[in-house]
Amino acid sequence: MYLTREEERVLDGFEGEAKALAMKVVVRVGEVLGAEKLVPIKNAHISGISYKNIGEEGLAFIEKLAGEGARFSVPTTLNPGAFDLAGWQRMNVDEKILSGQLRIIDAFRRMGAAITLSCTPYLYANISYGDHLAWSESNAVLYANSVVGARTNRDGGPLALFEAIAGRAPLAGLHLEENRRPMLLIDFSSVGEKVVEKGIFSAAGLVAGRIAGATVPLVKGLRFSGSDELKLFLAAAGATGGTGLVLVDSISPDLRFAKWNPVEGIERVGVEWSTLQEELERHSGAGEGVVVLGCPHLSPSELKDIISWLRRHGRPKRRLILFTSRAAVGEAEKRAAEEAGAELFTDTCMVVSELSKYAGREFVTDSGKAAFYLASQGYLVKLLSRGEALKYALGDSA
Amino acid sequence: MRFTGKPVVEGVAEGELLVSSEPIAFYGGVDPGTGTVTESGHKLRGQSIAGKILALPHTRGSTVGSYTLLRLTGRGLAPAGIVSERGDEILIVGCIISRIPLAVGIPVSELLKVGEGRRALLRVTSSAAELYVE
Repeated sequence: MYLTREEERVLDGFEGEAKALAMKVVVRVGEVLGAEKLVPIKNAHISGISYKNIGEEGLAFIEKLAGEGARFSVPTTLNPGAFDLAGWQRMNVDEKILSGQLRIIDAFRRMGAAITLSCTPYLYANISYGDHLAWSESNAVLYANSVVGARTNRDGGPLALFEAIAGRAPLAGLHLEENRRPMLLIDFSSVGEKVVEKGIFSAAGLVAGRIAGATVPLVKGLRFSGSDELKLFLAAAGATGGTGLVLVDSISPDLRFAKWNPVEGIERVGVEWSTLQEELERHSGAGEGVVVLGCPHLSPSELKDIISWLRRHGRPKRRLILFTSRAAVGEAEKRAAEEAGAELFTDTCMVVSELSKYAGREFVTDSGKAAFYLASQGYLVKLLSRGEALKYALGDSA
Repeated sequence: MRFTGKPVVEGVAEGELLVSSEPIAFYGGVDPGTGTVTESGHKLRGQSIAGKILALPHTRGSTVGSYTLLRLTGRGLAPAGIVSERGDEILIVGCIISRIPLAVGIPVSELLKVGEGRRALLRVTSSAAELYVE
């Protein structure tokens, strides 16, 4: 692989052992991926933050890196951790998890990360079309590639950590234009209107991910009215599929700038209503449950919409838990959510916190991604549209 | 018998050869406290990977698996060396930070023919990777 003189210097340890290790990891991954060279990245986002997931050894390793002087070379943000830093008292957090998580966050802070603790860096990061990024967290990767047109592979947390330190990613996979063309057309035309009418973008995303697998699909026939629906759709596609890019007709910048015909010579898969129904039945959960919204984290506008909906329709009779990012809320929003009868958490989410410790085992959500991962953790989950989930919180039957 | 592959993480390791015909999820599929494969339905379920020369097609599941290899190493329960058909991110990152010798490009189907429980020596240098099986 070709390395610049600067990259060689880093690899040889002239900028410290930690950065040399990071560069070594990036180079070895690049070699196996067949990259001809590395590419400088503009921004990094690291998952694998929760102590619940990475445990004592992950913590020890990250502390060792920070202690050896590792520093992020580019603006770097963090995925959610195991609890709300200001509201952990309401989450019945284990003392071991409490101290482990705080040490992980502190080590990241010393390395220079912005303590965002959110899975929606695309709402805040300064990124645009064509930028090379090193992002982990599948929903963020999918949004950055598919909606912004930035370029990142679907990296794992540990790799993104090293790329952030090295300031480089292997020039391979979705960093290269030739790998960003669709291999498959997923056509929602015959069900598109019904999806919009019923607001079941999550179910559509789960279906799209299952069909796409690890390949880049082109999605046609769905009309998105805003980024909130896209966010739910892409997050769900990322849960059932391994792809890091879903080209969405009339949304994805790659299609706008394409010099090729996106549908030429690719296989078409039409989505039928029965397939969407099967997907919803797969997540039909228990009859009762706590309503959890905010996977991916609610944007400021989504949060505002939910609060004003509650104000208009009355206080929830069932528990309603909202997850969002600390960047989205100030004291005023927190108070407004509480007054409207919802519980609000930042810095964490339903998937990476210990939900059973503070909210039981049965849930209702509008997120296909949450439904998928909570089911895999043994919870009973019912997937509804956001409108239905909110009505259910008010007292309707599910 | 001698097999050659592509070098990824340098080092020399010796141990009993353990061949997995299917991918391994290190996070969730291997108990970090014992080094035993725990995934239900997995062909290696109940077997320990500690101290073995572990051969597999590739990994799957969460990328936290890289840290699981480190957890195993910290407790002396990691494989002595790993031989993978396909190199993937979880293995490369995990083996570098855990200092586990890693070679890729050796087909599992070839190693399955050799049979279980043989002694093996893995030698990975910056330019070559060789696996000797007794």
